[in-house]
Amino acid sequence: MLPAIQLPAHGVGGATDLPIPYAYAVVGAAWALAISFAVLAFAWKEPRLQRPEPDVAEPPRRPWLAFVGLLLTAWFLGTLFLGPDDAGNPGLASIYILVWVGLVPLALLAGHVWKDLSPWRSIQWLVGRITKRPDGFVTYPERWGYWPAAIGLFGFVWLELVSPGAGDVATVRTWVAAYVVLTIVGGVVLGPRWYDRGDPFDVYSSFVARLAPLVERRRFSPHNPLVSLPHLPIRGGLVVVIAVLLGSTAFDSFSASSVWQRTNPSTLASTGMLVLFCAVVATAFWLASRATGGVSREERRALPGETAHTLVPIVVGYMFAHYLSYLLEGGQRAVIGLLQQIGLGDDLTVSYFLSEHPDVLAIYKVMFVVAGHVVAVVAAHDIALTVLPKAHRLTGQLAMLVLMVAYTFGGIYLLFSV
Amino acid sequence: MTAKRRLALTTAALALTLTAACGGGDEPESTPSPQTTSTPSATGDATPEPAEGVRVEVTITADGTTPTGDRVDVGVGEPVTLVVTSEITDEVHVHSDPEVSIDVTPGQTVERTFTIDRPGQVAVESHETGATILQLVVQS
Repeated sequence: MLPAIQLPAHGVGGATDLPIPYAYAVVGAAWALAISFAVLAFAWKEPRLQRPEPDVAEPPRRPWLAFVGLLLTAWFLGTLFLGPDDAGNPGLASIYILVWVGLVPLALLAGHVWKDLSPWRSIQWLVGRITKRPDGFVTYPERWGYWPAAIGLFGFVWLELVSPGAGDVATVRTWVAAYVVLTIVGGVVLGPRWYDRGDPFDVYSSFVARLAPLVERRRFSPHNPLVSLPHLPIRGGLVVVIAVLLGSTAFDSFSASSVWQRTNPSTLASTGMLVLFCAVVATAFWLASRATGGVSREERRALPGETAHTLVPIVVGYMFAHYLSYLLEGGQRAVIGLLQQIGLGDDLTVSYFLSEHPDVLAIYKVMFVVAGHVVAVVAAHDIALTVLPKAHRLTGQLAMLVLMVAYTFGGIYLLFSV
Repeated sequence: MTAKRRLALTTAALALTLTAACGGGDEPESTPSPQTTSTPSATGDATPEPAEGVRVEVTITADGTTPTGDRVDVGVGEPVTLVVTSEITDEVHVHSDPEVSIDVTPGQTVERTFTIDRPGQVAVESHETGATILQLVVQS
């Protein structure tokens, strides 16, 4: 049993990774830079990854997965709300690690299976059947775009990375209760579209799922994920959703730095810094994506949305790099804790292979960041060939390339220095 | 490797100092004064001396802690001794696995020795003030 102690960073306690060695950082950065300019200079001159999305209806949700989703939710939330009242409650780790971080590998492997699992969609479906309003009572306003999801994601990262109650069961219970009520009421009133565009976890999963190589439209279908990535639907708030994901992960690194800790920041200062990180990511992208010649004002305005999908691989690569040991080792602790709540798993122990081999961990971290960067640069090059006028194709994508290199260098620098 | 490591640390320190300088303008009095009485980690890659270990003196007041946010190098399995003097009732949490918690009361000095048996960074926090006192950088 874990001791009853208030826990720090990430909402769940324990040690964090060592900084990656300098040599690894330099090699990773050099690869990222070299590949970037190779793609720009020597790569294809006509778009190769842009195909119209097949006009196939989304298959319905799978009942057996919906059932699994309900069971898992009952187990996680049952543990959170009925389990111990201290920070040893495994419900905390199940939300911060299994749900929040585990969502990314799940979507990469199995596509947007979140849609099948989501208990909130199941409840909405049931209520919709009873009330004979399967699509809700009010049409989801088009201008809301992904904004509710962006706000929800910010609310979650704020809870985890800034809130003084991050490791406090009562605070997390309150947050989760508010989320559940909002998500169910939103779904019942606005229909399933609320989940496609407004539920932070559902939206996050659907973004990452565009990169799943084995699954398309939630069915097994091996394909080139670089072809499905540009089909990410463009709506208001798209860039903000991505900026919150990337900016908050960077903030999580930064907030563990000596520089920041020495200031003993207040909650307000931390909130401000988190907002600043997200705002810098969003603004830099917004500017870089528009920095091209030869386009009309309307076309320029559309550019950030049209190119935003290219940041998803950077988000995923950096998430893996930043949270790998947390997911694998903290995840084991979470699963064991959850099993113990139902009287199992007492003889299981956690394997700390990655922590015990910091060099191996460091190699993986650099590889994930560089891999995400390479996929992003390839996607950005291809979309630039599509959306930029012929005369400005090379110069028009320069700003974006520099920005991606900057994001990647920034990520590697944080992994190395903190 | 050691030279590289030193270079890395120096570069990191430089970069961090620069960042601090750029982001400055907060409080001029917050010049980092490493008050740690840790034994200098001159042992480096050599075998750690289990008899000696690392010793850090910590002072807690209502306004915060001394030191705040310092990095201290520690070997895996090397004894770490915290000597905590506090003006307030507080709990010092060492976020290792398993966690170590040190209760302190006003005017009292508490000494506690523990080891960390896995590489990583372990935060030492003051519960009341919310400050990160130290980050133990644990390397084998």
